[in-house]
Amino acid sequence: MATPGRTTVFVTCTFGVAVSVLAVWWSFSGPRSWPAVGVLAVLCVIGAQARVRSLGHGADLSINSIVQLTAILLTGPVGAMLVGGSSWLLELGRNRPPLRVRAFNLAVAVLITAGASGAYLLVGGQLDITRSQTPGQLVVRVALPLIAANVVMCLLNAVLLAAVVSMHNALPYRETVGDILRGGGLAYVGYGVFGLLLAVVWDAAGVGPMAAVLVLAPLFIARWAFAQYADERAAHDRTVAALVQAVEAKDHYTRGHSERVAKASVLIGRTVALPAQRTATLHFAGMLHDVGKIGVPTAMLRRTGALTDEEFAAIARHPVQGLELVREIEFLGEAFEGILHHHERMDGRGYPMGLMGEAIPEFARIIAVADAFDSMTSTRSYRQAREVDEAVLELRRCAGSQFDSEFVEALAHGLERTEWEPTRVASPVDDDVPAADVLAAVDHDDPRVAVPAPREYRRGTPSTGMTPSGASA
Amino acid sequence: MRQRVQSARFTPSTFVVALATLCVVGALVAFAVRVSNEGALDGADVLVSFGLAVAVGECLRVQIAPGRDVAPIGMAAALAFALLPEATSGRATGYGGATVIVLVAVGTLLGIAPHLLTDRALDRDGIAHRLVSVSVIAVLFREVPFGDVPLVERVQLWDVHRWRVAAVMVVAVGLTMLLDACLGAIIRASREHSPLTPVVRDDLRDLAGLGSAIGSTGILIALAARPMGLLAVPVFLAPLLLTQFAFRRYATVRATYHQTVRALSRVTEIGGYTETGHSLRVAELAQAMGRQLGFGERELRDLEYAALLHDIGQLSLTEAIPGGATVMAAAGEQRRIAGLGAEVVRQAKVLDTVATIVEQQAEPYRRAQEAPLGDEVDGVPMASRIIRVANAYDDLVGDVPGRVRRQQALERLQLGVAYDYDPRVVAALRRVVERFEAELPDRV
Repeated sequence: MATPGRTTVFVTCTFGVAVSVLAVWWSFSGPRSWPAVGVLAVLCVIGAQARVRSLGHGADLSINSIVQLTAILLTGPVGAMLVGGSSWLLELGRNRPPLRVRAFNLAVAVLITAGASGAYLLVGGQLDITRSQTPGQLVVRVALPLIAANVVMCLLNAVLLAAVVSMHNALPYRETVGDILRGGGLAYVGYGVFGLLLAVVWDAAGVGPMAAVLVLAPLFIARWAFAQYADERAAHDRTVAALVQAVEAKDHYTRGHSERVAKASVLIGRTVALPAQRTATLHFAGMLHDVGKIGVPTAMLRRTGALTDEEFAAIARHPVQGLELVREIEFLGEAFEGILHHHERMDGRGYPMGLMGEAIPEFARIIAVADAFDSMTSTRSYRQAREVDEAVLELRRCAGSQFDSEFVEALAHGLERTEWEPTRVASPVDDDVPAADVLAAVDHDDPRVAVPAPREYRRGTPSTGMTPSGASA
Repeated sequence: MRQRVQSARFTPSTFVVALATLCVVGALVAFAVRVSNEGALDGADVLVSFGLAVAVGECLRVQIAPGRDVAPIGMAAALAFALLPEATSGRATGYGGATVIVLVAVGTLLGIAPHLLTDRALDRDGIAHRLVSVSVIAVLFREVPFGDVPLVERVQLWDVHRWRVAAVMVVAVGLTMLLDACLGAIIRASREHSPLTPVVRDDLRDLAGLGSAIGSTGILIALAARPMGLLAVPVFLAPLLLTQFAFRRYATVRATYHQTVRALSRVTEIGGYTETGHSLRVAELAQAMGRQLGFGERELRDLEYAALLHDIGQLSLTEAIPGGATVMAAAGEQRRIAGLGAEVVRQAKVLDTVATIVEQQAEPYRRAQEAPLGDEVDGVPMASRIIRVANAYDDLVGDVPGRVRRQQALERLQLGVAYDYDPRVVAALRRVVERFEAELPDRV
């Protein structure tokens, strides 16, 4: 259905239409001010070069759309088309796109500017803004029409771009238009106001090209700060991952466990439609849920056979110790409960507090499912990794008594849409650990071999009067 | 904190606060004289709009780094008010420099009122140096005659080449912001006991970012009021709100990052590898020493992270070294743990500087001089030398507080300056310890 030939024909036609529109409009009236065209074109080229990659495509367009809207007011429609076209014509750099792509981008820039100019004039926009004497006139004759122009520019851009994207990648057209509009296309309507400000200071206040520096400086600095924010956030995530990995290094088989539990928790969270902010917190809760294991002596984690009460108590303290460790990280909020209670059971036989059913915080119930799932689908010293289906069956078997069935089903549902490979680990090549010891170690997360809690512990000394904020035992 | 204030005799902070008070009082007198001579002021709409903008901006101030507040919207509105030649086309603003200072002071007071009610810390120094800077530009632009009239009247005569007006404003605002940054840096340097140069450098870097956005917004409002009238105030401040929002998000994620590293650095103590509170104490000492030695903001952050994580390599050992990897442990063992720690930190891929600092922390200061001829060896980074000294000091003092113990520890480190420790770093430690003792006799 989709052939490269069709795309080429479409691009050629678009280019032809763009050139004709430009030529016809030019025959009526040319650019008003050539120096302004020159300065704005340079700005457009800089805008196209100085992209902030982490902000995505929608935001890239915004700087250029601001300049193009300004150009309509300062140089007239034809000047604006030239300004818009210039950025793609001059696109340099090492990764220069092929000629066809550049031709299409050029044509789109010209056509959307033409459409925007048309819309501007149609709703009674004034091309010479110095004729607006009062602020009220400025709003009615310039600001509102400019918003209309901006909306048309945005829509036209999506319509044209979607055509070529859907043709090239054989995607349904309507959905592609929707995707482009959602992916930041709409955000740049808001940036249109900068176009107005630039034109006002340039023309009405008579400052000239210097206005561009003054108006665009706050915008560029805001973009820079957003990019810094994105970098710092990524750095934070990676640092947490690295430190968690260092904690996991104690036990060969649990390497990567926390990251996978975080991933599975997020999968459940998405399936039950948690808001984005909570999902992000859930991710950290998953990452940090076992960090308290650092307080459990290594020998006990690799313990063979049955545990004494004391040893069990040491293992059962890890959620509390984990909480104590991360308690000062303010933003975690809801994650604290997830970390503290991730070993509670729906029937109240879990630890550290023996909470029952809905009394267990939501995050803890989610992490419990994700935790057991990853434990079962990973190689352990005493068995091979199980298949995903098998693990889901086991989770379903324990739903109601150990796990919240809602989240078990959410995980099962989520797994249908994702690839999840069981984690198979080779035997450790760690000289420090006697092989026999490792072979017999039992995973406290595995529901099949769940560490049986000694009777008196279940009544639970640590649970007396322990709250998340006061947990320091 | 209170003790610190009492022990201070005359700090730059008190000087700037006194200066700001003087400006406001002087302006109030001038303002009162003028009102009694000329009756009520015209252009009340202008005064109210800018006063409100300053108040709102002061209320919305943000913290861009610990101990550093900025009020971008308030500052931009104040600058615009000081520069404003015409409220709308042809309607000259009749007020003078005194009015600007009084209005900005009143607006600021209104803006901090909500903070006082919610117990948020009052940024006295920040408010003071902003007021001083605004006073300077207000007097410079509206009172000092250039030729025969003040600048504010002169620029209205330039009807052609309006860009010259913008250029004059850029110069005036640039100088004001520079003054503001320097005043802020002087106060901060004395508060944090660090040399002036690195602090000024940090503040100038901020000036290039947020500062230029603030300055250009102020200029834009003053210029655009001619065609747009007072509409220019909200319309141009709105984008600055976006900028401010971006900076606040950046500051928040940086603070979160900091909290996370601090919290997770304690895994070594919970795992029983180190003494309780060791990492945090070493980090605090190291930072104070870094400041003494002229570290800038970025270097201080790397130093702090490296100090917090300096023992993280012990997690890679199956069992803890008895007594921890203290100064008493064998040199080879210390070096091995440093290497393992660097490996952990390097996994993050974003903290390579920190990883290098951690890696070199066990290296004796004079290692470079031992290298065979022709074999190039880089010196041990200053941050690593600091952590080496801070770590040794904390190990030697341990959890037995007391002046004698501290002096013994310092003496022992002093003996090590021949080979192990950098003499300048040990001297910095001595100063830091003495200062801590003077400020908080119960601690250290």
